[in-house]
Amino acid sequence: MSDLFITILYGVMQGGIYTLVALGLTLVFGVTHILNFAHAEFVTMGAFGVVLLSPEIGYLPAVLVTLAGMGVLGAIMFFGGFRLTIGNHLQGLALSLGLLVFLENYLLGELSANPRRGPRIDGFIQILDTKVPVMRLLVLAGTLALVAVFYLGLRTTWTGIALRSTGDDEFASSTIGMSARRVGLYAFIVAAILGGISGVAYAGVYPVSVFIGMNILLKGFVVVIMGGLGSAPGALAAAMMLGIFESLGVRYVDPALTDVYGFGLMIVVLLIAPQGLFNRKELRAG
Amino acid sequence: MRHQRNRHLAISFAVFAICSVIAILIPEQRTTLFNLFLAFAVLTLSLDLLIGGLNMLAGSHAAFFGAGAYLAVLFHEEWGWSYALGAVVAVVATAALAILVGLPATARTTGMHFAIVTFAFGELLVQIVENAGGLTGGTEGRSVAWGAGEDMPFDWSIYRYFSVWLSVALLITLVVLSIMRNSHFGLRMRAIKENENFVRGLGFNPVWYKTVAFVVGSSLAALAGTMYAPMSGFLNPSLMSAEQSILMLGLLIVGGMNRLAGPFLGVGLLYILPEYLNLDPTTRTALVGGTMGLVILFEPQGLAGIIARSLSRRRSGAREKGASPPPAATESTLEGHVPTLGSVTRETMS
Repeated sequence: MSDLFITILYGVMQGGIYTLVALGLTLVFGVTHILNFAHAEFVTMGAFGVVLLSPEIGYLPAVLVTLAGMGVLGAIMFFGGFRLTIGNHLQGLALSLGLLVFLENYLLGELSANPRRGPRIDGFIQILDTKVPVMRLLVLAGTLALVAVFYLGLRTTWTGIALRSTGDDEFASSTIGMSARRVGLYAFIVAAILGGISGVAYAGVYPVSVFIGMNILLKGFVVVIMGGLGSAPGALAAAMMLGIFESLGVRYVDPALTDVYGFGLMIVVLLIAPQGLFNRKELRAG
Repeated sequence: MRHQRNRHLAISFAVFAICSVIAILIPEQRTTLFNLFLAFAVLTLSLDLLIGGLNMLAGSHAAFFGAGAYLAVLFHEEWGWSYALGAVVAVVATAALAILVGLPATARTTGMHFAIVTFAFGELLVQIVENAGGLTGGTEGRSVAWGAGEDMPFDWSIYRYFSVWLSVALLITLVVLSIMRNSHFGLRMRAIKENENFVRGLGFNPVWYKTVAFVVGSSLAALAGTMYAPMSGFLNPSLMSAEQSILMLGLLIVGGMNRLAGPFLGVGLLYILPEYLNLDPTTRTALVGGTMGLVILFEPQGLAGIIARSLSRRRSGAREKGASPPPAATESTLEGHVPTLGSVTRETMS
């Protein structure tokens, strides 16, 4: 019983990290209709920012500096490239793929492929006769709190409302002065920070290497597709589903096949409901 | 149309003749480089059938390439078939796999969703290969014994024979592309690229055309794979990863889509030249990614597009002494069809 509970708890933690990545992807897609593969590098850089900076300036300042850096990077990416590709899907896609490959290999050249261990708080907490690392619980609580803050922000702040309205109806929003080119900047900055946070969370639990971004990105896509592109609540539900599903699979079936579950699940969902499980809009080929 | 097709076929055979002459005359230590050039030219050309021809951003191209390579080696080494038979069956099996994947993928998804699904399928295949244990060698990969140290006629090394065979594969690719593009099939493909719903309204089923193109493109990738495996002598799962698919896409975009010369330019400049200069793979891949981003932003038609435009400008300038503005790049090798990226409208996506 406690075994199942802990497995699901880990699943929720994993789901929290996926949610943060998927929210960034889905936000950017909802506003600018760009599928940003380079999002993976926000995660990698966020994780490495904490791992490399925290021995120098302490954990909390390192996190803040990293997230600020991610926000600036997101703005640069938008102004330098993606602003010009709005309205042309495949161009934006190709640009983001190019950026992804460039950044990943640049980081690989600078930092080598060795995995590194991030700063941790050691120690365990007893939950139902199983020892759970404190850091995992902290990451779990932190990601869930941030997801809650994000949804609240999306509902109440001016930026959140701008993002939602542009996602809902781009033309109507542009008539009241919120064009995709302007709101897209907010979307990119928010997405970059969310990606950075998920990188920080990841570094708290797992070893960090240059390739983590790509791995998490593919999971993020699975989540976004299942939840429906552009739908924020769908992303949360799908991420939790995937996280728990994977966690159960790893615990009770075969750990080597973790990724197979996710991709298998996505292909099944796509065949049943290509518009995503939680999207009201109709999507069909053609 | 027939005239155009014959011209393309003539170009294909001319390219084949040049490649065979190079394959016979090239110094021994450069054969590997030339083989890589030919293999990647086949891969990029077949990818162009999907991306340039139909705006289908397939992320599974490297996966099918790897599938062909692994299957051919397995048929030969585990089941004891001759390598040639194994290669043919591997291509057919990959085509069957491509139908299984392509039919639902093209019927149920479009644009970006199609890109994600094919990327995920490619990663799924990588996972399967990594977890298949002894059969595929898992993450460590497996070596390929066939071909090494074999006595061949004319005292040529086996690598020179690979050059010849890869030239044949290139010929097959070029001929298939020429025939497909300069036929009614090709016209409908082009119409689907411009407006899928319109084609549907005319009574043609776009899914059929897209699936056929996907299967043909993927099988050609598998064909390149069956020859690549014994040539490199080693197979590992990273050969078929999403990274590799992105690399091919980069070569294609930098070279220029929808033009015969594009893939050759891209492969030569971004893959073979760095290999020749002995750049390490990380720098090379970063270079491809960076160039791809810049080219797609500022010159979506790629290098071949730039060259075609400057040629036609010079020609018209010489004729009319620059009196009138130069016509758009109509000297494309493919019927002067100016390629546009992403004519999928936003309405079809949301």
